[in-house]
Amino acid sequence: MRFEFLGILKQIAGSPLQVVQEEPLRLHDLLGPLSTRLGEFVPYGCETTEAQLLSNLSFIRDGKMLRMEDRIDKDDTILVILPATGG
Amino acid sequence: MFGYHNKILRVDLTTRKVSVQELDDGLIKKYLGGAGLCARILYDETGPDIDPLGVENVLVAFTGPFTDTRVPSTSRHHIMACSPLTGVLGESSVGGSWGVHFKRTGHDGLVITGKSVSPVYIWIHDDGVEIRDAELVWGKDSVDSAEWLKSETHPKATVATIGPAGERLVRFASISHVGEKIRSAGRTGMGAVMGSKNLKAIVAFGTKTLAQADPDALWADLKQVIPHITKVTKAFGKFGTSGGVDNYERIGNFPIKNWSGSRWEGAQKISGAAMHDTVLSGRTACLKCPIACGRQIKITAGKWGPLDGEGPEYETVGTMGGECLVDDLEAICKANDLCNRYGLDTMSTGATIAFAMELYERGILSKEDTDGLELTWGNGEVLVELVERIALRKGIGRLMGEGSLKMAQKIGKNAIEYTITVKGLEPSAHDPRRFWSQALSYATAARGACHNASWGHAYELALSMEEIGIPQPFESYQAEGLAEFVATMQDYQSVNDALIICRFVQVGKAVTATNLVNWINMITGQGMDLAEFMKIGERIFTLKRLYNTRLGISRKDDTLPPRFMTLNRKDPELTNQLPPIGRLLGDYYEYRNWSEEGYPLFTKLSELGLEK
Repeated sequence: MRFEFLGILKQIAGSPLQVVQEEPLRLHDLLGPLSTRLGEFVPYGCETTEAQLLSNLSFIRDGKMLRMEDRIDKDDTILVILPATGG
Repeated sequence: MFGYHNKILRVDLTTRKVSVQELDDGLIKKYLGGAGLCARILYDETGPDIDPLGVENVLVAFTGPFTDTRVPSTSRHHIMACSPLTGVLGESSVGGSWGVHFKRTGHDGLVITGKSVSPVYIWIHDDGVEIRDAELVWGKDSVDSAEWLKSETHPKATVATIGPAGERLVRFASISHVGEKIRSAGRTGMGAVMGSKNLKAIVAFGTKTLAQADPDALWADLKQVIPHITKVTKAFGKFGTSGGVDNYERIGNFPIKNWSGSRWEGAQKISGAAMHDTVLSGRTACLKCPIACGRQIKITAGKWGPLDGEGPEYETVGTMGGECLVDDLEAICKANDLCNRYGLDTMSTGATIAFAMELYERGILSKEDTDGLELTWGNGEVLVELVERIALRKGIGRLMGEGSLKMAQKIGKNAIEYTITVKGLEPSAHDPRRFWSQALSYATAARGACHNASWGHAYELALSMEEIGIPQPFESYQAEGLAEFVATMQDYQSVNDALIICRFVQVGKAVTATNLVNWINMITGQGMDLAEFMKIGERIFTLKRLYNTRLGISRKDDTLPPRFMTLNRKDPELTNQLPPIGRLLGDYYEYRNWSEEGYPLFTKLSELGLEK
């Protein structure tokens, strides 16, 4: 599974995060590795709640938003963006 | 009531009479301030046979109970009138410092009626109000105008002024608010309303203090919240509102080629990150705002230099960049600066130019029509040139200054097919095919295609607010429940525009409805609860609808441009996203208790206290 950081998150997190994992995982299970790249954008690391996480970051797979309990398969690519910008 | 000076200032430009009206507590409780009180007064004091550029139009400006308190991101005010661009309700919320300076003169709102026989400006200060001759400043751009007016009044005053575009009645002329920085009331042509009244500027500076019910409790609460706002909006501060250009391009929210494109690599060249790395010279903030999303840019040389001024916002980059395929960031900066100086809405300007480019490509406009200019996609020089021609109503600019809908109607042929407006207003830079909440909100918002009416994209993408019934972000591309979601968000944002507080404090759930209710009570001494708070929002939204239905608006007008309903974009990630607007509207009217034709029913009006 691959997390691709877009826009200004790319400047913070750098190159895509590749997680080698055969079995599917929940987005919630990936907060640890994500927080090492994104720091305070994952506010309380593994303890963060869905509302806290999704108000800071958006995770998009095939054009659809992901939730904390959504399963991520080994070949999935997830886009990670800042949720609210614009005027 | 605490939190207000309880006074409305009235200026009749025909008779040159100035008066002060007491602001009734009953009105405050029903409408709070800002957009709410603007809508009530506009509804009561204008009728169905209104020419937006006629003497009968009324220009209303209001602050809110949060203005000039310690609540952050509230140095705003709201402006409303019948719109010369759309012919229906026009409004604009603007930051900066004018609202605070105006409120410190001891007034909450300003109502301007009539028309002066010659150019004037209004000078509002602690000791009174003066209507002064503006012949010497008429014709000047907003920056020069503000400098002259400050020298004539007070060096620390904030000047709300029109530029040459407003004087020439360009239908999307803005009002530039020039204090230390420039903030514009851009949308729906409020600058043209001032121009039609021969009103060049409104200058305000005051020192009066505001009585609040419990400022200590307010500050104790704010001390917990402000650091959180600063933290979660850090990216806004660093990269500005256009920090999300490339994100939005990737997920299908960014406008491309007059909304006909799917993907565009030029977006990366004009994003907030690109600005940060090239022309950015500093950050700017509205008064007492910890976010500081404003950009200061500096171009020292080259085709568009020297230039030292405000940088473009996301919506400007979207309309002038993405819609016109202009990936020259410095050209966009120049066009943006000209809009600030001439007093033009950057969004309608960019969108109207994109529309003209498409007409040129399709042969509906030729070189003969465009004074010899080649209106080709991506042409930054033409973008800048057209801004000037629109503002000064020169050549093709005479036609373009009407806005894209009226322009299409005048051109005839099949130009209307390529017009992208709702009720005559060109959309914000958020694609309603990506966020269906914006599709439904564009269709039903009072002023037309306005993303701020619901701010639904942010709540589809990320945000939630359990206490108003949105426990998690709304599922994208889902029709079920969308009507209730959009109506709730419209009501919520209506109260925000009455208070008045910037949308950006909602980022990261920094400020919630519960915070707002608590702060209202601490400032005003009322005992408002959340239900009443949301009911005020619904009342304001419904009143705006009543204003529009009186002008003939109904279901036939609550729709989207054909392109949004029929054109699927080609990228694999962006297909089959066309919003089912017919079904959504039906659900929406039912939820709102409006008739099938979109008229609020008597039972709803009665429930909201709007039956009379």
